[in-house]
Amino acid sequence: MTDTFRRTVAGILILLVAGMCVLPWYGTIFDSRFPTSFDLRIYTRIMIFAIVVIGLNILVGAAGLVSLGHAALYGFGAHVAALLALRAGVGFVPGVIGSVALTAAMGAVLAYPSVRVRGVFLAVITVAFGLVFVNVLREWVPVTGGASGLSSIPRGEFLGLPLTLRPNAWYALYYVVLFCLVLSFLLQYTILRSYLGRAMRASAMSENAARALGISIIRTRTIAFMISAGFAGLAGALFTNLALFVNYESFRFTQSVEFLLMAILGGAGTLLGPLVGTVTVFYSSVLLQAFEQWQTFFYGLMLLVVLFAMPKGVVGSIEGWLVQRQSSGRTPASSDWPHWTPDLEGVVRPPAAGQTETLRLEGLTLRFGGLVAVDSVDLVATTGSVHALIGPNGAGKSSVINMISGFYRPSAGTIRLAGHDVTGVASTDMAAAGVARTFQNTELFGAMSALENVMVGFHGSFSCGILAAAARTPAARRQEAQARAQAKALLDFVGLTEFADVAASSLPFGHQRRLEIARALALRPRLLLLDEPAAGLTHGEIEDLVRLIQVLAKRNLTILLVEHHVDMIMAVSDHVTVLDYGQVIASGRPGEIRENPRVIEAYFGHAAKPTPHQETVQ
Amino acid sequence: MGASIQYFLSGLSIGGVYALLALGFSMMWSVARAANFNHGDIFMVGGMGTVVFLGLGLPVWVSAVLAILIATIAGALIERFLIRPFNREPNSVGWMLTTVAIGVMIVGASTALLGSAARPLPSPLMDEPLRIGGAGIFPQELLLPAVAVLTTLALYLFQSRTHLGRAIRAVAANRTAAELMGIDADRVTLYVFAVAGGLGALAGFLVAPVIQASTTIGLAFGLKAFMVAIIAGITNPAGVVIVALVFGVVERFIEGYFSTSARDAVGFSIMILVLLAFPQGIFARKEVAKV
Amino acid sequence: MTTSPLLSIEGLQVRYGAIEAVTDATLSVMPGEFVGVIGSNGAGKSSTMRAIAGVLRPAGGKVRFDGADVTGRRGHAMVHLGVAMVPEGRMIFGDQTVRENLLLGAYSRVMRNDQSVGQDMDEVLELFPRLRERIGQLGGSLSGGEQQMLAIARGLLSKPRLLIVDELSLGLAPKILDMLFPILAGLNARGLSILLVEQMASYALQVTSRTYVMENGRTMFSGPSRELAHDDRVLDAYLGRHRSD
Repeated sequence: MTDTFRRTVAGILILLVAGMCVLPWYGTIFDSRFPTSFDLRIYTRIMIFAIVVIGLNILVGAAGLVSLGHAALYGFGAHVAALLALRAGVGFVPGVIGSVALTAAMGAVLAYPSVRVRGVFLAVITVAFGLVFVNVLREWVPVTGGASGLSSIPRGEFLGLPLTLRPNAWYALYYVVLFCLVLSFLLQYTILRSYLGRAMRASAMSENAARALGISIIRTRTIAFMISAGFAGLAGALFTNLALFVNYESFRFTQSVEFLLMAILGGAGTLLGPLVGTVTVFYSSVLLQAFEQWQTFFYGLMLLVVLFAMPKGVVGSIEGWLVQRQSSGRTPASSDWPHWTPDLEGVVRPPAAGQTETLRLEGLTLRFGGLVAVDSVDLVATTGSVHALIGPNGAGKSSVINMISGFYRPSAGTIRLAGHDVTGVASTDMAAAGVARTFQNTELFGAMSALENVMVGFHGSFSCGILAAAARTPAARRQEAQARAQAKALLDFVGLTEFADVAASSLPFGHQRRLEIARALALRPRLLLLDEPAAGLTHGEIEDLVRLIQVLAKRNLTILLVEHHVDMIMAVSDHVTVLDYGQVIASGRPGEIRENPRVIEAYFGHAAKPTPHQETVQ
Repeated sequence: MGASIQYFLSGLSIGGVYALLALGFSMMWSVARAANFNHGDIFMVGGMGTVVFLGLGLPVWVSAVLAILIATIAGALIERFLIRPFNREPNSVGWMLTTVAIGVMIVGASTALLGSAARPLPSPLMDEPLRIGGAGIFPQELLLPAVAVLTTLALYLFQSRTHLGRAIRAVAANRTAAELMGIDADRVTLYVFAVAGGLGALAGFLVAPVIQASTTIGLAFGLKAFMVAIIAGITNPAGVVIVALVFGVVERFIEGYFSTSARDAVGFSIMILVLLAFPQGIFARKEVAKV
Repeated sequence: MTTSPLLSIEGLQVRYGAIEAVTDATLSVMPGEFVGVIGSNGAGKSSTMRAIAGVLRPAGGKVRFDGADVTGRRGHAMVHLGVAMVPEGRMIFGDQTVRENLLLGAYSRVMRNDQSVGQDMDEVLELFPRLRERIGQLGGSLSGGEQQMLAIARGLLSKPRLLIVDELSLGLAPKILDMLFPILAGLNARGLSILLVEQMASYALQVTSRTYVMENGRTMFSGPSRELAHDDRVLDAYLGRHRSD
């Protein structure tokens, strides 16, 4: 998105907010009956809905999770606020804070057990929560009032003004809700653009890559759900103050579907989507009221139509169209790489004094059921060396990489990293310990830009908390700016500066491989695992890759390389270990390995041993 | 003692409904790694459809067969048009949204047309309760777990003894390999969704005399069955049926010893706790994650 | 000389997202021929085979079988046309018995009510007596070599006109390979056309009559296998001697 476009949108939004600020006074200024207090009530209600949808948008659009129970979370917040006001005489502001906190906590309770498995489970649990919630409201009469609900909730006050929609109180409620909406919108913006927002999107696009970069999937998703629930709690508390009456009728399953429809119709993951979606669906539902009992049917139909015709929603489709229009005609050029600059000195973790070996595998074994994929592998990678791991297809090379990076738990044996035993440590912690990796079939975060991909790699370097990131405290800004600058330096290193804003999935394949390496370097690794980095690259690109590996090794980064391109292995590696049937069959300097008869046999088979072609050596 | 037997038997009855629905979820998930999220509404079509056709003067068996037939076709159509196009990538959520949408449409339309009142379905098996150890239970209620267990057995035999059954298992195990055997994996998936729809409707028809049919019962039943399937380990049909029956019994005991209103809250909480203890499901088979 | 090829592919391309695995694969198999495709890992051999067998949709190019354009047909349709593939990694149905796996191999014929399946089953078990011994065992409990036998047997039971074998040697010990390659040669001698993809060039060059060499997603050159066995270019493609020394 260009800056002019961004500025235009920001300008429109500021005008919109200004308009909304003036709106209640329109009647007074122009001596018109509009807006009546009924109109204002409707606008307030739409704003409250938009707050729920903003929360849902973070969940669906960024974290890729579906909630079908947001109406219940909204109702939960509403009831917390109502009960705090009725039973404990709590004032408006503490009441709202209580609602947000308790609803977010409820969200964590729902999300934590379910997000670890699959997204669908969370969706199921949210529906269940919705049903139980309505059930409890109906049955637990002493607390919730049952069908008659909670009424005569005391009207809250803010800055000494009663929260009403009347001119004599300066339309205090309207302005409070407007303020909350603007705040929610800004929070949505800051959260989605913070390291946390990137982690959410990364976890949704590739769990493996996210884990390899030190992101905990469960934690990230649970936080996403908590945040989303927090917005619902805020909206619920505001609703209570608007209606001064709550019962289960407003928080049924159909309402959850309506919220979801708003988020998706607007465009999940976009900033403006929630606003567009909420207004569109709200006014359609006013029209649909004419159909009486057919109303819910039409919600379903609308959702279906949107999913078929406009899966990215209104805003998402417009953005996609703009990006397409803008990108046509201009192709960025790749610059020379590897391009080492002094800014990059911090990229490699300096080895501890006296450390000579980075990685030591002893008797490493992996069994799948009865199958032994890796059989007692011993390997030592000295610090600053390039160690190649080769062998025919199915020899167990990738399994070794997956164990070192914590994706597979070894069945036996030990893994030592810089002297420390790290056997069985999970991938997320391995990343923190300084093990970075790339994947055989490049696992980039496709819809994120090249720059954002690298910035995800800096996830672990953010020490500011979620709240600080959302509030953009000076510390958070500084860390963000630093990560951005370093990510740019890394992009420059691999020659992708001009592609910084291009979505990773639309990069040419060779560039994707480079980007993945840049992203891995963002971890400041002490050990870099490259799983077939040359596969699919042209000869020229392979030569560049060789130089990149050499540059890094010269800076004392230890590299373990799984590769088939013998050219490259010979050119770049200090030491080669050959696996066959999961066992080490040879280990030595590249020159020795190439003439080793067992290695030749492993690759070619023994049926007709090829004659040595010494004559080709000039 | 008599009360316990009563809870146990009527729990088995409702557990039989969960079992038939959960079995459908298990079948769908196995072949497609997706399911009709609102399978419960297909179940509702079985009960309400029968009642409606009966009201039109058709004999009860014809009505039931018609309702089940409609559900079968609906299952196939939902797979073809709402799941297949929205399940192209692993972990996609599109199919959830489309099937929720169609579920809302089915419930919305049927409520608008038929009203939300519960409707009885007469059955000769509801005339005289059987006396078992001080408990009284109608034969219709015992029919449900019996049908569930028999269906599971029949399904097992079908999948191990027939060519199509083996093809279904092949598709569930490895779609690519199944295609290389000459099996049209898409068509097999369609069949499975059709059968799951039919089984769901059968459950709806069988339970209607016990609990009365209404247009809105599908959501809760479908949801519980889905959760049961998940906590049992969704790709293991026998495990799914066992957990479904147990869950039905547990629910009745909660009703008996706490209160009816506590049933869902306690029941769901138990399921969430079980899921915490067994994230992959109780009877799950190990799946090796591919990196 | 007048016979037309059983299989011919021209300019085949395969893409995985932005990744171009195969940029230009062109090859043909005459009726009764035993053709090999060799090349180092990642050269695009398996992707080419998967595109022919209909497991992948080619991004470009043409696939002709028996004169008809079959580009983009799905896997099961190719089986019905007479193309069977023994896939890379074997893909045995681990929770089904050897017998059930074999019956699945004959699925397309059973569905047509082909009466000769039982007889063919006997023949196949004659060829692989080890499978007869293990007929009631689950596929997952077999050793790698036995699984490969089962995969071949399963492929044969669809009575193919062309058998594609993808990486026969994958993870198998030389002893087993010494047994399996002659079996393929025997099948070819009885008239079956075979397209063999093999990383272990020496085996492939020994049993096939003609071989294509693939590198970087392209079929680079081809020739009679006997000649290629002594062609430096083949070894170079693997060991990269032409550049590094």
